[in-house]
Amino acid sequence: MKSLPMAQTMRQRNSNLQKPESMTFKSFIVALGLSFGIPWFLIILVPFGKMRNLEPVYFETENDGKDEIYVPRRSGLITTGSSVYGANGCYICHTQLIRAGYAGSELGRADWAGFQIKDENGVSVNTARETTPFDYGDEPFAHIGLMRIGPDLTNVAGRIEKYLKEPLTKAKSPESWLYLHLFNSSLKTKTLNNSFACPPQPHFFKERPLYGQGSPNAVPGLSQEGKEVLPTPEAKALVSYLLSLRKDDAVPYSLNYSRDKKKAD
Amino acid sequence: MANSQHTNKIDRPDLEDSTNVVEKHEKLVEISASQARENQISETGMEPVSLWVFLASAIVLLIGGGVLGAGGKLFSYSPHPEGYTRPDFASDADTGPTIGPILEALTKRGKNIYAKCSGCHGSTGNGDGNQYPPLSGSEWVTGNTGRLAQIILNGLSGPIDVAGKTYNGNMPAQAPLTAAELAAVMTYIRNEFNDVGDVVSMEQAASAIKVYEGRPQGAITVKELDADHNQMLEGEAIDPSTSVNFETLQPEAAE
Amino acid sequence: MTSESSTGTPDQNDLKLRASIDRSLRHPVMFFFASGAAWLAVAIILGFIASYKSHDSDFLSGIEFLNYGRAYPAHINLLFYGWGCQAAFGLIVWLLARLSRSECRSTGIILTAGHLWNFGIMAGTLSILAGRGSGKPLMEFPPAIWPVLLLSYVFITVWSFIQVRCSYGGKTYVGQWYLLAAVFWFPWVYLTGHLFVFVFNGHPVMAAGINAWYKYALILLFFTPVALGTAYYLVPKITGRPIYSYSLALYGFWALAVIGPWAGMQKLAGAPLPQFMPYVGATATTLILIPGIAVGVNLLMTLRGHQAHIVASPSLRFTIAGIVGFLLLGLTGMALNTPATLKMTQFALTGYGFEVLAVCGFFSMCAFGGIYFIVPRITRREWLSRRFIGWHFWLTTYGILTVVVCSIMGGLFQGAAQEAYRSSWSDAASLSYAYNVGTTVAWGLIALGSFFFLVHLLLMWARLGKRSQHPTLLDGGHHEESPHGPDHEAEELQPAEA
Repeated sequence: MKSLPMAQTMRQRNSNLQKPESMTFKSFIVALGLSFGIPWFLIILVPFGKMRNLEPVYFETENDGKDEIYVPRRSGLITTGSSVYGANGCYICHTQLIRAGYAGSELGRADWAGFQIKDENGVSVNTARETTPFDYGDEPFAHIGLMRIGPDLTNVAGRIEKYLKEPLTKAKSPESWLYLHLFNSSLKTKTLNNSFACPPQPHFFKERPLYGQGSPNAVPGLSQEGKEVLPTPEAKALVSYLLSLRKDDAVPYSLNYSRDKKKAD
Repeated sequence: MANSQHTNKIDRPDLEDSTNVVEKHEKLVEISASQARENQISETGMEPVSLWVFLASAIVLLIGGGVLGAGGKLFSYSPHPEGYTRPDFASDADTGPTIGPILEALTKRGKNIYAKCSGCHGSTGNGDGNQYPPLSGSEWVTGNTGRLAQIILNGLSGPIDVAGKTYNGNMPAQAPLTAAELAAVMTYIRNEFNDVGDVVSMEQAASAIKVYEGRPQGAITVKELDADHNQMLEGEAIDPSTSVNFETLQPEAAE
Repeated sequence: MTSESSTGTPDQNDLKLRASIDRSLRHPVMFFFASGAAWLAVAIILGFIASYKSHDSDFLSGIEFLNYGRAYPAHINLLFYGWGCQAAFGLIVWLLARLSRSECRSTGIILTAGHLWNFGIMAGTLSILAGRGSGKPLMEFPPAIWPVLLLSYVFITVWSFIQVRCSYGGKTYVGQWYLLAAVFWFPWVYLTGHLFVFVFNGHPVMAAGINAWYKYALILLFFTPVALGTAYYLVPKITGRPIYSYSLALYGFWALAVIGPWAGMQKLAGAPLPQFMPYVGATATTLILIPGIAVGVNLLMTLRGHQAHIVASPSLRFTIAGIVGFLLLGLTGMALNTPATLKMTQFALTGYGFEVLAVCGFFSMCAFGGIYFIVPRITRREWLSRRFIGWHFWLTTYGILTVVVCSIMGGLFQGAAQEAYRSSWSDAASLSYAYNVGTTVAWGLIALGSFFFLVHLLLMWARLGKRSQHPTLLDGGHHEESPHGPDHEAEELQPAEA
């Protein structure tokens, strides 16, 4: 280090005198540890532990008219489909979250959070609801999603059923609608025509020469000239997963945040 | 650094080997000019933290506090605040009845679809007086639905006479449209800018689309319209007051 | 430790010590910078491709491994782990060695660990492109990779950490606090993120929450302190002036330390998570402006009256651009996270824009400043072309500004349209078209700038730099007082001796 010249400026002298006690290395590390550790404890560790063992929610006789545990039923290749969904980056453009009303407005968007259906009495009712902690089932990671370049997929299975009823649609079944979407999303109906469509995913399909009647698993609408197009197992898992996405079922009274919720008689 | 007169090799600039080589504990240490010209880091200054910094930080803290306030009770582990109820999105504005006369259902839809036509034909259907003909008072709109449907689906090229004036623009094709969309926009322009009083049904619109698909691609001309399409569209006419569900456009009795 | 040379003045001993430190570190540091720059080029190309696909889905649509859903995660992961982490490692190793004034004796270990890191990154990226990604944002490398990366990290940084500990004499420079903190925080952040998401079985929404926290913790508790440590070293070093205020530096550091670890979960606002967590994250991201103000005031006041240095010195120019980027980050953090705007920005392009601003607009600029300073010292050559440096600077700056405007501002418009729930969805979807095009253009500009940087750096790595005593300055050296010390005029060139 440079040796200090004899004449120090006033400022330098003062700085040597006024310099606060530097922390020791140990106290520096302890302070760093605390400033990190306290938030870590409060927003990572404790919530993780609490949410690991969520109290199950029940339908109760006096409120809901029945007495059973609330477990949303999902059928399909959920686990495999969920990992195919992740591996192909679907979560980048699609979300799977209906936010509570103070955090977003997709509760009000038609066919996203629920559907306008007729209940058993013939009354028109909207089944829209927020996502509950039980909606992701046994998936290891909730694909909440990064951006909404495409629509939210929380209730996509219900929407596809509606799309099938549109005139001029090429798809005959929900599976084939999704296969057409994955192969080339502008093929599903004649009206879809946008440059920001879901990118084509031809790796989900393999082409095979058509023998006789063809395979029953072939995707209708894609076969041409003696070739048929079959979905790969990954595509089947993904489609099965997507068709299980419908989260507008009735929830128990304690989880119901609707304004006009009524106790069952 | 010495001045330019110095002939010492170390001081000779550019294009010479600039490494000084020094012994240090029997190890060669090569020093480059870049290290030699470095400054020392000096003692940090002792200016006090300015009041403005505190003020700015206080403002940011206030805003941050506002953000935190939206988070409900701190460290309460419930997902929603106490007494949260779902806001009433549906009745936020008049979405109107969901069951009603088909005329109303179609004109309501048609209004939304017409938004993209208003760029040329005007929001009141008056055109621009020059290139784009008016829809209000136009015999092409009020007349046979066959011609109107083909104009909308295929686009138009060549001159066309509307209300006594010739227009020579080019209308781009509006296809692809669903039957519902076509029926809606036709019903809208026939009833909102004119007074025709009837509706174009989904069946009629679907038959128009079939005709459109059967014809070669490309804008249609007045000649072809008059020759091939100058009739009402095929399909059963529907009474404009038929009660339908606004979503599905299927007949449904009012509740 | 300190120089034990018996001969020479204190100045000369100091010079010898610095030179020997630089000499001992040349291999690992140069490796990190060159390898990082190469990954940066790949990351940017992938980002360009992904961005192009977002507005034209037929672009390269036949190539399976460049699918949007694979190119985008590969791009982000390479940007963070391939470029960001390796540039950070190079800076940490060199800066902490210089600041603790001790030669590096374990360069072999550091270099090997660096190659291991590279191998992990390559395996991970290829897995993502092959469709074997894990599906967790910023953790898309297959689960086998992250322990390898953590292990290499430990071997890369443990020596630097120990050296600071050993030479701690109660007197430290501001830069050391930040760099030490970064080295300390990274393993905790990394381990937390990966253990809680991959290893411990928890609730799926909580796993998503911790994943969201991890991304911001990495930005705020690793990249930010490394960049700030570099800036706090370079500014006094290049100008020879003291940092403006010690207390302000202390204030800024502890503000970052206290605020940073809370941020990140705002991505999950409205999710079935304890309600306070996303909003605490939003608050913390809002408050990042506080250390931003502290650092900005401190460094800019240090440079007050010496603006010529910023114009002339490439390192200083990039560093100050980075500090401005940090201020911008704080401002956008504040703008995007108020309860009203959070609704709109949560799932719009803004999140991506914010990350790009943090890593490219702030961290990368400070890292470039450090690299332009350090590489001449370890290669003993000067940068070849001031034009390359200039183009690198301006192209990157324009590119970052375009990304900020398109992703952040455009994202706000997109988000507002998304929230208009009565309009049709395609209205919101089509709104992003123009901004996606803008983002592609921005990546193109940044790619071009990085190309100049990579070529320039590789030439230096190949010892093809200029042998000169003049530093390569951005204004041609036509000034009285060089920020890097006294200078020779070109007219004083003497003919070479035989």
